[in-house]
Amino acid sequence: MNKKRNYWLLGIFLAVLAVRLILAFALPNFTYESYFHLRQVEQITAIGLPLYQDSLSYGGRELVFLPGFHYFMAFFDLFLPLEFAAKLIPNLLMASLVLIVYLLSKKFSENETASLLAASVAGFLPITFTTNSFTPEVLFLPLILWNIYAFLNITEKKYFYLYLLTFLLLSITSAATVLLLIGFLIHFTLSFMESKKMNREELELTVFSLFFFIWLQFLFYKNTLLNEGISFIWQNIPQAILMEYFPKVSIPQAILLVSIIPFVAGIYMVYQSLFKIKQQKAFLLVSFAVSTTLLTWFRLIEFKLSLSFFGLILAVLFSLFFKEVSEYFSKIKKIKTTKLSSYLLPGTILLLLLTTLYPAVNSALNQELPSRGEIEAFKWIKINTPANSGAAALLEEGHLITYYSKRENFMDDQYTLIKDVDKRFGDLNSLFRTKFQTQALGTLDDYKINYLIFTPKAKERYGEETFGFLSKDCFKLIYDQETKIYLVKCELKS
Amino acid sequence: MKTKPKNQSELNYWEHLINYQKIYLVLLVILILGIPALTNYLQGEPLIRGGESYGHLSLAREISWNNFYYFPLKLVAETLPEEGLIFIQVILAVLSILLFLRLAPRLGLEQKFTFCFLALLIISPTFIFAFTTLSAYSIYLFLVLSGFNLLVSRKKKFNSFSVIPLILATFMDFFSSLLLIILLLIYLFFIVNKIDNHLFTIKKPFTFFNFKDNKKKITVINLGAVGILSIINLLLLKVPFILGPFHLQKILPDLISDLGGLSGINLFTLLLASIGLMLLWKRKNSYLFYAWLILTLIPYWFNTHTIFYLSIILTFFAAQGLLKLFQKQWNLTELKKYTGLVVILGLLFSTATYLERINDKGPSTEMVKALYWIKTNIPDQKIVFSDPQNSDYILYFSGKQSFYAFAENDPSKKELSQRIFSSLYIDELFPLLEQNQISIIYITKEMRSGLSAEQGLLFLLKNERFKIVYSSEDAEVWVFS
Repeated sequence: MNKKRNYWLLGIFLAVLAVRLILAFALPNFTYESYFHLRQVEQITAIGLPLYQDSLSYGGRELVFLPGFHYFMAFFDLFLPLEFAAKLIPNLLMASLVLIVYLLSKKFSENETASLLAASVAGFLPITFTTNSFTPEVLFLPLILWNIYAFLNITEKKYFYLYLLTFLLLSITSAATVLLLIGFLIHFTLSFMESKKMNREELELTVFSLFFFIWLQFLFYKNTLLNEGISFIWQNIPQAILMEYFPKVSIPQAILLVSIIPFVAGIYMVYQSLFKIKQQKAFLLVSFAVSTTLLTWFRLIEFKLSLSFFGLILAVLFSLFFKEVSEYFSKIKKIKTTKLSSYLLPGTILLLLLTTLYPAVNSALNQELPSRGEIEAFKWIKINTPANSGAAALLEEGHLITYYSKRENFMDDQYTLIKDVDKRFGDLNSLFRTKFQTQALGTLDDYKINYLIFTPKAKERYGEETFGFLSKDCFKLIYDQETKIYLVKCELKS
Repeated sequence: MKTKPKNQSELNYWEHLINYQKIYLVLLVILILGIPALTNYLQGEPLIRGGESYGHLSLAREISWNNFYYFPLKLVAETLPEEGLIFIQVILAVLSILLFLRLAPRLGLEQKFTFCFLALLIISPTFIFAFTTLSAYSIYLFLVLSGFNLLVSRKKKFNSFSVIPLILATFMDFFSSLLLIILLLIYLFFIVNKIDNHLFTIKKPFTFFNFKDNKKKITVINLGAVGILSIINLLLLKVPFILGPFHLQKILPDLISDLGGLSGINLFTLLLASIGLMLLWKRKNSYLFYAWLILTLIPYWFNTHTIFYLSIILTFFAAQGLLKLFQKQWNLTELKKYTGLVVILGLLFSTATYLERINDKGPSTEMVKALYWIKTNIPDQKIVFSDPQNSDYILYFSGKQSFYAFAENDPSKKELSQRIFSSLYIDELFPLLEQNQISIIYITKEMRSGLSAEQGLLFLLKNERFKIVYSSEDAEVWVFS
């Protein structure tokens, strides 16, 4: 790689990082689910172990999750303030996608310009542009691409160790690593069907990965498997929000999120690889595209994560597409003099900027974040309420109660191993909808809730100014800002 | 990164294991089956577990002309203390393993394969469950292996005796008898005249009507005897087509024990079986094994109690997969070691998890005490309502009839039972209990955790017509008046 290309790559990386960091620090706080992970990182820093027995979530429960990301972040928490590290490191990791997508694209296309374009597509992919998200996916996505890169170079010893390392980290970071394994299996099936010679090393790696991954997941999820059986895949998510978690794939929405140019280019390349040129190299990428589509279609993997991975695969496929188009233009140039080829690169850059940068920034600006006022309210609870009390807020605000208020919550988005989760979710909803005090008090008694929190988000969702059942006798307004907090004074005598 | 020749010490360990497999496998059986028995003994819990055990024991108590074949069990149950029965099961397991080891070379099975197959089988939840309960299939396995050992024996006088265990094996259920007939047919057509050759290399089926050979003659006699008795047992003695079920059936968990099933096979064995299934495809005569797999897979869909047969064939494929995987040269030598380690750890963890939870299945001492209380304090003609999974315990310990048992296979009673559990109002529940003369309700801890306390039967128990007459940590007895 020449020096000029190095500068270009560094430039793209720094541009992506700069945009991400500006947005991350300009926007207040983190996405709602991030607070669960922040709490886990804090716990690991404090005692070295994750919080598998959580006394606050759901009023006390057992938690099951893979702790790789939390340990990784706990390392930075040792010498950086957590909230700073939680904005810096994830964005650094996501910006690093530029580098690995470049390497992967170069491996496939052997064209540097195409690889740089693919890298910039990956950097500004709208679906991954959630700059204030502190979730394991920020580690998972770069790791999975490094793993694929190591897989492609497995004949070299250093990549063998890189593969082992990245696969180990992936297996303890996210169960979505199954995407990779299914991709490998589809790759071998496609190669077998096309009578292409299979690489022995790749086959051996796949066998090892399959057994290792299953064993490790078994170690972590043993109890979940035994209690929930095969439905552990759906993580005990309440039926009512299952659609939100695994939404039916809307093609226009998906195209927007992965950006239209890479999407069209990727689909074209999948078609070419499968039915026209039958290039074995591209089979691997196609296999990942197929495995992601299948798992998303059958709702076996979270929609946002699978679409992010799909988007990155499309970015790599885009490099193959660009290479093919530029070769076609070169051929035309040889036949007749045309200025068309000289417009190809600037035209592509312009198109990509229009279809990725704007949607990406828009995506970051539209992240669901709690406001400063809301956070203040949750912090107020910690100082002004007894330590063993319980508080109810919206489902997504559950982690704010446990993280900032340090109080027991009614419910949050960690559903695994929770009994009667559908009923609990129904009860929480009815608390925000009911007009009957007796019904509300019954629910509050059942779940041992002493405080009610009504945030502007709840107001927006339910179209009400506050809870519909409040009476002065039984509920006392104790915090009256844009967020309102009520003390429950009555209980139903049974 | 090419493979280096196998380390000499590694080879020595493997060869030692294979050469002394009889000792190691017997020790493994004793260890695996001993753990649950010892745990139960130390905790003062009943050593015999599972509904099927008590189903057989109840039948053995009342011998009549159509269940005379329970007489040996009656004799054993009356002679030995209850704890002694579990040791008989361990002895049966050890004998079955020894019988298979004796039979394997005669069938042309390689020593390495036999070791892998038996090791995987012994640690499979199906085997553990079958030999830690009084399972009909454990006795069936022992009888069939005994029969075939006598049949293949080089001493002609032993061949004729093979008919005895094979006939006895037909009393389990009709499906098992059918499988036995198929085994005898396979033996007759493919193995008998090639007995000392390798099973996979047989080219021509033997000429059927040549009865000069003693083994062939006896096999045909065995076939006839087994066939006729199977039909007689089905028609006259009303032996079930397929035994059970004795628990609430769930297709996937009953197959993969790691998903919380009663028995089944380990997830890792299933993975190895998938590899074996793919690799065995190319071998000659392998269609017999695929046919056997289909033959056991279909009835499993209807009654998961047949997991015993399905898991044997899946373990067979798994052993093939395991050997193929690790006998091949790997380009990434180090990875082969890691993979081997992960496979062993996976199998061990899965088995350990199963052993850890096998004793959770009933009955516990507290449950038994509650049922004895019913026996001594409640008149005999009363019907007890409970989870159908408890029906065999109820009959054996309390001597009372339960309202519905899975083995009855009565859809109307099943529906009624479900309606009783899910009744929302007393006007719905009371007529159901009255019409079906149910006056006792037996609730276990497992039922309490599975049923909603806020609606249905448990909620309606708060009504004054129900009185709790016995209560302990694991069981409650309610009277409906």
